[in-house]
Amino acid sequence: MNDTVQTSPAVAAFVAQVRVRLGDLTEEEREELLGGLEADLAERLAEGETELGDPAAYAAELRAAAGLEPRPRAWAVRRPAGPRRPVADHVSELLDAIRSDWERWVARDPRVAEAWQVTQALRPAWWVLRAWVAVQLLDLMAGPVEKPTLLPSLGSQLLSVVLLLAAVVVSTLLGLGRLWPGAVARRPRTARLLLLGLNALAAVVLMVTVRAFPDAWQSHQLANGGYYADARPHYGPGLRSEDHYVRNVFAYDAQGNPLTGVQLFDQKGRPLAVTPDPYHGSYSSGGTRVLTYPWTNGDQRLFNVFPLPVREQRDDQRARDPWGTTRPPVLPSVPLAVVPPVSLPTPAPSPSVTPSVTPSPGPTASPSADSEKPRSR
Amino acid sequence: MDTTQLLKGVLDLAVLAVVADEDGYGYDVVRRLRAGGLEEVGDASVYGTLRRLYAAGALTSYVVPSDEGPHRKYYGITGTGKAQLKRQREDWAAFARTVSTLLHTDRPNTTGGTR
Repeated sequence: MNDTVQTSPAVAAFVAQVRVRLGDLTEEEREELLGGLEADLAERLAEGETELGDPAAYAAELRAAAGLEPRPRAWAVRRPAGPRRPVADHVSELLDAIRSDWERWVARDPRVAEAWQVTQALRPAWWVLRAWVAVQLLDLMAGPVEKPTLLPSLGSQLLSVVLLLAAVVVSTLLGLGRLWPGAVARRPRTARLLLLGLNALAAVVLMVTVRAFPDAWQSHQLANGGYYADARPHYGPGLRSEDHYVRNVFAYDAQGNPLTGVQLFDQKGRPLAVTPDPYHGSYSSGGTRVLTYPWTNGDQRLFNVFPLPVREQRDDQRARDPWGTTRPPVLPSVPLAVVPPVSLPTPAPSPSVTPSVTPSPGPTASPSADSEKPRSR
Repeated sequence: MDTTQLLKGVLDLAVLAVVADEDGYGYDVVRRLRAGGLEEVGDASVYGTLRRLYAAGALTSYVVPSDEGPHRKYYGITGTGKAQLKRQREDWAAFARTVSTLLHTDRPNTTGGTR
């Protein structure tokens, strides 16, 4: 009998895999099952067997024969009742178990395996992306709250570029395993957890950032176009047309006459208001500013009733009680005194311009549009 | 017939018998079982059985260190194990007799059986 058998890496790996699948047992139970297993397996291989088989099936057979409960799912591994089992081991084993479960799941379908290979090949893209996220975070912490931009706005443009490049280099070294905590061969638990946490954080920040990105892109363009000196968020509430804010609205009835006190709502009944932000609501006119003031329904200030009264003043702040001052806001003069009359398309030959009282049976006639017209008159 | 099902029922007995012959470590027990004709036996099943018998007090175990390579864990039979082996051996003999008789009933009686 050969009593001195060299264990091979294959045997050690196999035992480790089996050990992971016994992770929910107590230390004692596990050692009873695994004690001597390496020597036995090594002997099997020495006898000419080439395959050790599937560690999962092996572990399951071991458990069944030993009269132990089948193993719960990897992520449901409970803490063993037995004492003296460090949480640390448990965490490592859980990570191992999740990884091997994942790898087995991926290996099941060749197409999934292929997709996973492609994903793994794209890891460098993630390294660059997370570097960008890190610099973005730094940017957020360094300056005032602002929307993220493609190139972080840290001090000078040059500084931003240098920082971004440095972050990409560090992130890539981490990814390649040249830098702690990625460096250690058999990564200790803290390093693994740290890496996991950092990656997760980067992913979350990225998701949040991407959601805000269209606005950020816009403000970036605006900033470059010279409209605004800083990168404040510009995508606030308020009626917009093309890329600028609407400051006032002038409505005309079907006859082409201007209307006053028109209340606007969208398709869901939400007020269609212009922004109450004085920054957007004002515009310069020969050194003074023209500010819009809201209508009111008693206790609320309404910016969805048009046209909004305006008041010429020297500063950007709306007066507290403008109607009590010597120069109260006034209804602005209409941009067009009258506009051409309009009517709904009608199949009837008569071109009479008397809409809305008897709705025409035309296919485009909308009853709600008709019923709103009399109210606004 | 699926002999692995049959094996399950008698594995305890077979393992006890092998270890009662001579102390052995896991794979040694597997090898002796296979040499004895139970070629289908899986080593994980044997290890599990050894552990269960150990937990039940039928076996003792001791570690034999080796100069190179990992330690070996030997199992030996206890008094409890010997009693269990004796009892199960008798049970098995009686059971095997019963089943054999059952399977051969139609031969001596020859009352127009299926043969």
